[in-house]
Amino acid sequence: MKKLEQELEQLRERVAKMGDLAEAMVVEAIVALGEPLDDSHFQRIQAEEDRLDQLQLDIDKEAIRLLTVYGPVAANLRMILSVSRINSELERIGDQTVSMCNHIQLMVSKSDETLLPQFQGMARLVRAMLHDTLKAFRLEDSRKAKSTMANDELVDVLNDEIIRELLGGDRSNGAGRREVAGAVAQIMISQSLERIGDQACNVCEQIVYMVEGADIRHRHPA
Amino acid sequence: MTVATDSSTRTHYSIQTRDLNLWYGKFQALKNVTVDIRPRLITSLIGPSGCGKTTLLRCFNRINERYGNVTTTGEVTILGRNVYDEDISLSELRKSVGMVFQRPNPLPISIYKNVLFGIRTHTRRGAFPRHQRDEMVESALRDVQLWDEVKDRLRRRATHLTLEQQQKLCIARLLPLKPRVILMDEPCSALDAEGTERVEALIGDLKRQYTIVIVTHNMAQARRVSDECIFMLLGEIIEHDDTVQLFLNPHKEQTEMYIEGRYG
Repeated sequence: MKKLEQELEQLRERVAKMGDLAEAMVVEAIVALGEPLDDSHFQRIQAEEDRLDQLQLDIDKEAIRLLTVYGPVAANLRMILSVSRINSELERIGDQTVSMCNHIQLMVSKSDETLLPQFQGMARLVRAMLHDTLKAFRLEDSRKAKSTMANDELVDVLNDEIIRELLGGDRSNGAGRREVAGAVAQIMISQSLERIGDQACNVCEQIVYMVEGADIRHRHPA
Repeated sequence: MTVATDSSTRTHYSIQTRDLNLWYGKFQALKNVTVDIRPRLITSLIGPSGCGKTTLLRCFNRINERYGNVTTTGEVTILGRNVYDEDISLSELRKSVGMVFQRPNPLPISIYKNVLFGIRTHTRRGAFPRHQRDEMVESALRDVQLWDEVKDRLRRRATHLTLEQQQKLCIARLLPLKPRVILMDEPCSALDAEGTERVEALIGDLKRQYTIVIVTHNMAQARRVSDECIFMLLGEIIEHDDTVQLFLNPHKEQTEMYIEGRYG
């Protein structure tokens, strides 16, 4: 195997590991949804976010080095460009898990609300999307990436439903401060999950670009 | 050449020059060159034709002096000794500082004798028994990844080898002398793309044991193989930096113009 290919393989492996870490953070945040009084989830996510940030810097540095040293073309060039973009998406997924933690804590401390039942399904869906996305990356499977993206619509529907429910019903008629806090926290959590779904889609788009060379961003399905 | 004791800061570097100037007749080819080259790294010298990179390389083992009318001032310290000191033995210097040239130059004798040629000229006849000579040949050829290809035809003339094999043999020829520094002047320019790739891989392996300085016209090669890079222009060092930094974020305008292909 040529040196560039070896180094690209190592880079790909590092991104896959970063993906594993981001996925572990998402799983932790979802568990925290069900165990909001357990601080250890938040602490672990904080610590992992630092690791994720460092991985982002390391991977970007390595991608820049490979571009500089080898001046790659074709599939190799696409791979490095994709890696650099995927890297940013994974880092933002980490940020969303931190945001989720902050809003879980807000909900626990400032309200008596309990999570709407729709969160369970939404969390399961987002988690599966991210898992499939990372699998598609490892396998360089653009078909899997495309089929994974299709799930994002369901996530959006659940997000809309959660927001509609929180803004409707009794709450619109003179809700108390604690109810407002609970609703705001839940809307923010739902938004974070929805964003993680979007970011998984962005990663999928980059997998398609990496494998097929087709730029499918901003192409909304009919 | 006797190597100085490893106590001074100089030992951080294999090669240091201080205010090195060199004239071919009245033409000044090197101007106040001050540079520190680190051990167990590959340092490449780049710059347009006539910038002095080959001249600088040739100062490191004083091979420039083979041409008449050369005047040199300043210091070149290799492994702790100024190579321009009067009591330096040229033959000892060239044992420690080996050189590989643009075109492979095997001698028209057997592969076996080529590998031992250097050590034989530096030692008295019969200094090494047969089994030791065999070991030296095998070890040198293994180090340059040539052993498996030539082990069954060691007695054949080296000039029958491919250019890539010949260049590897020329590198192998240096190794029995246990050099500390290997100088390479465009070592791949006579080779095809695959030969270049394999010789570059070999150079990458050798850096674990040696200080390697390589002159190249090929900037892509400098980027691929070297850890540090020195850009020269009109006999002067313009910039010396980590290779990735030099190509990604050069500090001098002349470097930027050269690596972007805007002159030279």
